[in-house]
Amino acid sequence: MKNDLQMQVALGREELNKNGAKKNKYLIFDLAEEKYGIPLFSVKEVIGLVSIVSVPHVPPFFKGIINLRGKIISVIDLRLKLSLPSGQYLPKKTCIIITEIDGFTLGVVVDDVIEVANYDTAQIENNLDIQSKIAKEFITGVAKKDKGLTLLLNIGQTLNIDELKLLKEQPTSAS
Amino acid sequence: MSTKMKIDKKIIILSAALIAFLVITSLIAFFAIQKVTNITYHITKVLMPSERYLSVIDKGQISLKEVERSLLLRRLDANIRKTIYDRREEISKHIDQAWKAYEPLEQSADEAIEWKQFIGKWNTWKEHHEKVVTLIKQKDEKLAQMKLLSEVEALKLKSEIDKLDDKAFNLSMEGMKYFAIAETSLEELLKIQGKNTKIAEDSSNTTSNSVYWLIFIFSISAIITSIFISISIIRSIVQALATSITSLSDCSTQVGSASQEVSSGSQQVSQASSEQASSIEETSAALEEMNGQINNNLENAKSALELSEKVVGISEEAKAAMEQLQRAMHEILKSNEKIEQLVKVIDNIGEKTEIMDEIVFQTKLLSFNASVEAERAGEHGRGFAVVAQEVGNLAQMSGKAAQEIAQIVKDSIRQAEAVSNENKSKVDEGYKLVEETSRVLQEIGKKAQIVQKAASQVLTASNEQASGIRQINSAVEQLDKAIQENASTSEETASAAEELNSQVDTLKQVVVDLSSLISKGDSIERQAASITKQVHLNTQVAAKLKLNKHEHNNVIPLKRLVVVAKEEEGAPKQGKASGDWESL
Repeated sequence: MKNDLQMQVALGREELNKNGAKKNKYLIFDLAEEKYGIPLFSVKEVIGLVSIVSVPHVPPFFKGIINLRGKIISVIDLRLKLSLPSGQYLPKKTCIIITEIDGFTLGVVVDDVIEVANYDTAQIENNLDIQSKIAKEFITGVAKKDKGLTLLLNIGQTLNIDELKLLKEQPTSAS
Repeated sequence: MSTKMKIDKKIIILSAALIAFLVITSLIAFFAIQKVTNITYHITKVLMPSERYLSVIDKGQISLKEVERSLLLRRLDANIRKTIYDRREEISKHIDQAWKAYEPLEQSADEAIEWKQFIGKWNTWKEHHEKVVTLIKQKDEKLAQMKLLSEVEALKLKSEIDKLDDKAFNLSMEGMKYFAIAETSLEELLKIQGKNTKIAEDSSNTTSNSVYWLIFIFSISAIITSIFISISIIRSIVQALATSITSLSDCSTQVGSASQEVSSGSQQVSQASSEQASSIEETSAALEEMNGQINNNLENAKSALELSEKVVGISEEAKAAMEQLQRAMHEILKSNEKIEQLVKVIDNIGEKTEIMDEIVFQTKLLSFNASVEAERAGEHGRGFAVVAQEVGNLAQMSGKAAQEIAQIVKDSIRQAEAVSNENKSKVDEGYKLVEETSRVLQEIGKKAQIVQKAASQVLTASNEQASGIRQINSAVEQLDKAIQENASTSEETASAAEELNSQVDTLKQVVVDLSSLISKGDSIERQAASITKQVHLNTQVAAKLKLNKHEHNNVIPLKRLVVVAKEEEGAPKQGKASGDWESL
């Protein structure tokens, strides 16, 4: 087993060296029975469901704040943000993905985190006119792997600057 | 019935009428006799004595008048005068007696008036008379004195005596006037008396005459009424007798035909007897068969008894077995509890798989975070990234395994519960079945006991039947005897029918006699005609009887031949009898 792992690690290195092509890593998660992916570099951490303190006078998708090892982090519900029907939070299923956008840390609630996937540039279609419930500006592309399709989200785009500012100010005003 | 009632009524009416007439006549006669007796009594006890006494008084009065006249005679001897005195006394006595007898007697109104008048005059006359008598007596005394005295003195006395005589004469003359009136009164009285007597006689005569007439009329009407009623009674009796005669002759016809029927009936009886005899034989054969069957029955009943006893024993054993089965069922229920415990254990396993799930989830998160960290590490972290991915894969695999385990646990629990429930329901059902079976077994036991009893009863009944069959056998023998007697009786009946026929002849004669009793002339002719008709019928009947007898002879079985011969002897007798009828 250990040998297998070492072999695979060596293989990965070899592969990268051999092709020279850059491989983009994405964190794949479930949202309203569809697969979405965000770039792994924008992810800081993945945690299970913790208790969220709700905050008054905010839009509905803003669920509240959490305490992550002494740091106060704002949390949004991605379903509500992307105008999808709201779902139930389930333990051992629902996850909070901690992202860092322009130095701003934000918790995003998703239905389930599935895997970390590597996609070639060939595998990603950037200019496809696809019908989706989510506005096109949020979708950077669609990744094909095996038979399934994964929508690749631009997480930075999903929250505009004003909103981010508002969210950024929120914890300071709250504290 | 109605005519008889009529006769009864008529007789009662007749008797009542006669009694009524008798009573009325007797009453009339009784009252009439009483009235006549009263009148007679009046005549004999009142009127006749009155008349007699009155005539006595009358005679006495006349005598007294004569006495007075005699006394007034101047030259009558004193001695003679003395006898006249005595006579006067005697007459007065008679008169007083009659007077005393007459006065209390009943008097009619005019008689009483006349009597009072008479008494008044009589008394006045009597006073005068007494005075005259006293004067005469004084004269007598003077005459006696005159004999003792001298002539001068005598002459003086003589003039005195003459004076006395004159005075007496005058008084007498005066009294005579009253006497005459009294005399006429007395005569009047006598006349009244005679008239009264006549009236009484007349009334007596009229009463008796009217009574005679009444009795005569009543007697005549009684006789007439009784004659009418008697005639109607006699008529109804005669009618009844006539109908009786008609029905008698009808009866004789019917008896004749009946005797024929009896004759044919006796023939049938004889036939029936022979049939009965053969039936009896069949019956005895059947009885034997029956006896064999009853013996079979006895055997069967015995075996049934044994079998039912065995069934009772088996049912007892089955009962014990059922109890054991019940205990076993209880054990099964206990094992079910163990299954439930097992379910709990499996449940625990389920809980543990949840913990595994948690671990898998955490591992997954860790692998993601590791990937994140490896990404951040850049080129150095590339190998680590692979490891992290492998860890993630393992976590996924173990997650799947945990899910499968959870599924298996769920299925196991479901199955175990299903098994337990099924067991429970099966055991419950089993319980019910066991109860039902034990109940049925009990029932079987009871029924077997009943069968046992019934079999023993059948046993005793069969024994009784066997004895009954023996009795029937003896009865059949008696029946055989009775049938033989019947056959002989039927012969006797045939001869009795003949006898009956001759009786019918006698009856005919009686009818003729009765007919001649109640009427003469055309009715007797009618009767005679009907009688001849009857005789003709009877001869026909006799002929038929004869014929029947011959038929009878043909049918009668061999053993009866002797009796038939006797009947043949009787046949000529009958022929003679029919000849007699024709001579009639």
